[in-house]
Amino acid sequence: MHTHEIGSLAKPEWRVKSARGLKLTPKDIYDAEEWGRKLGIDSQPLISLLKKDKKSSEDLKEIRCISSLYGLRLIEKAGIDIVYDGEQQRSEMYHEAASHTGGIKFYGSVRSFDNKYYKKGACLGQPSFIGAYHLQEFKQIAAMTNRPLKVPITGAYTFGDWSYDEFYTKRSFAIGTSQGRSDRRLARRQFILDVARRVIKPNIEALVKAGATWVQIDEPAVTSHPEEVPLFVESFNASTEGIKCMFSVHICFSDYTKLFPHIKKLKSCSQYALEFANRDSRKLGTKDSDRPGYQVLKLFRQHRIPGAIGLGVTDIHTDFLESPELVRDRILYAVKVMGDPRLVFPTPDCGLRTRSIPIAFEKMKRTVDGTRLAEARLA
Amino acid sequence: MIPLSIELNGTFPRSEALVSATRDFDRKRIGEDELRRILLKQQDSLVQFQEKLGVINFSDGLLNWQDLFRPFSVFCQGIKPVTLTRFADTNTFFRQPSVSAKLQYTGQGISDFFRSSADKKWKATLPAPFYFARVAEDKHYGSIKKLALAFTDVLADLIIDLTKKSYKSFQLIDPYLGYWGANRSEILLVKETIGRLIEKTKASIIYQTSFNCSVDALKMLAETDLDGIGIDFFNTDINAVPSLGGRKALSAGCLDSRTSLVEDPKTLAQFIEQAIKKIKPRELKATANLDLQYVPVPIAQSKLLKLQAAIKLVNNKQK
Repeated sequence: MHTHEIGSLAKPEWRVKSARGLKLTPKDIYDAEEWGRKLGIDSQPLISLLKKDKKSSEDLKEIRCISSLYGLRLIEKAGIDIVYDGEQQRSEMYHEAASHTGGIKFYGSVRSFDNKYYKKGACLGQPSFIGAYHLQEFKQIAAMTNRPLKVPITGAYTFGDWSYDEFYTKRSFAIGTSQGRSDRRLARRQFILDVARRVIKPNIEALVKAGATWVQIDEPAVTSHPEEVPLFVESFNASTEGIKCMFSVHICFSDYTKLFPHIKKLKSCSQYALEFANRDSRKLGTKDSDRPGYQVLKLFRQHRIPGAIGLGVTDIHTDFLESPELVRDRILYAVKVMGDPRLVFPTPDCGLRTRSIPIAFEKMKRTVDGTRLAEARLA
Repeated sequence: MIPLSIELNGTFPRSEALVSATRDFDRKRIGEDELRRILLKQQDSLVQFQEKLGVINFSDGLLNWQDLFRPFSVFCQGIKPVTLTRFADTNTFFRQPSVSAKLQYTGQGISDFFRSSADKKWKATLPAPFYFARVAEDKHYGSIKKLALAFTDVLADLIIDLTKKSYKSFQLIDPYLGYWGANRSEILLVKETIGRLIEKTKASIIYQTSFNCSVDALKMLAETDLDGIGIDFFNTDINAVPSLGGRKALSAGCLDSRTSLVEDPKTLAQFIEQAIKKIKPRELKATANLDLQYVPVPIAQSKLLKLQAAIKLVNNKQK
């Protein structure tokens, strides 16, 4: 069985503060050295950059690039098979895509939960591709490792859902009428499909041309409007049509039952990476009653959805450290339901950016350790 | 002449300064005192803004509530926040409340979550019992009804406490009725919780629905002793709303809190006139269809100012 991570990791303080022009503390410098040592990275070039009073834009680019190396090595050291850099060079999944898209203007921060926010953009004109925004990052990371890469990118449906729309939706739409609702739905469809065709697809094409073989399309918003799951399917197909590459989709914190049967119409999705551990019990066991969080897997079998499962086995919203045995049992249960270990790719539930670096490392390591235990049991 | 006013609905967006402060607090860059100072500053500014709008019942904006249920795990025994759960069709999440023991209101720390001062009338925003019971993880009561009624009693104790702190109006938030829907017995349960709450508190309560509330549910709400009902007019057809016959207030959600497009005062004014004519409320409290936290502060403010302009237009015509 192959393990992979989902996407983001927390950015180190030295990376965040440098980008924000804030003064670094001795602890920030120490962390850069200490983690460099733990990960087998010569941290001296980084330390020299961090100690500069005034950092040029080239220095900041270099710091971001070194941050990618730290993220990548952390994931590798945890033993993950298919890797990336923990999205160290990106601001945030939505912001990164929207800020590189023509026609989008940012208004300010909107809360997602607790003290977590994202900058929300508004579509003021037809969205346009203004350059492959993950290309440079991909080339740098590809040069840093021999392990297979999976490039996470934000999908068109989530891009559209998380944006305001002032272009397709007209100001005159009526209040208190069903006509207003129907007009807004049509406008939304046009917006999302334009993002798919005009922004996401050319971005993927550039990555594939540069050598990317696996692109994970992140669509956390997919089931938030259950009646629009067919629109997600349409936008996924429009984004990937005619491109030779392995595609997977990551969906999280959603009602997965709403995906069925619509996802049968996805034309090129080889894997569904979903969050499960967040909704599961922490007791050991591989019976149905032991694994309440994984029951939805049965729907993949019932509906005969082709493709594998990216199986979330560690909860990314708590510091609770799952034991390898708990991870093992979650995997064994999934294998039992899916009927084939090759259809199960153990992963954390989602990007680990809300966890500290030591906790994120431990969660990834336990994902790997639990996988090895499961493999031994299956053998 | 129908009295018209503006009220804030639910949670107001955090300012960029408060956003930064909460992030810095999480990363231990600032302490609790500094976070509180910045929180109070935005609360003050929100109060001043409401004064400018002519608001009668002031809201503190719930700026330090992590979600609509979280404070209850502080001042009510038996509730713990657990799984991160998406709220309806938004990109906002709440921690599902888990009920593992008998609910017991303690009142501990309520002043941290409800700002008050004797010089103003305050409005508290609270989760409706039915909404709470439908989304909570119930490990104790064993039925939606028992849980809803137990939470009603918690709310009653809280409302009685808040009444002593200059709170004059209580907005019960219930997106469940509109977004997920309710069957006949559930609608009757909503009615029972409302009756019980009013009987225990004698408080002025507005039941704020959102999304597309069914005609049956709206009719039931219109028949209760509520002071008013709230409706999301971006998802509910005005023709589906029963007449209030001059007996109840209408909390009219006519600003779309999900879009950055700022409404036009003339369109708003036309809608308000139509709502007065068709629904016949005792008074109309114009508001957003959902919490304004879905747009950044400057947009929320622009929308409210347009609403104020719309109310002036209607008032001028009413004269």
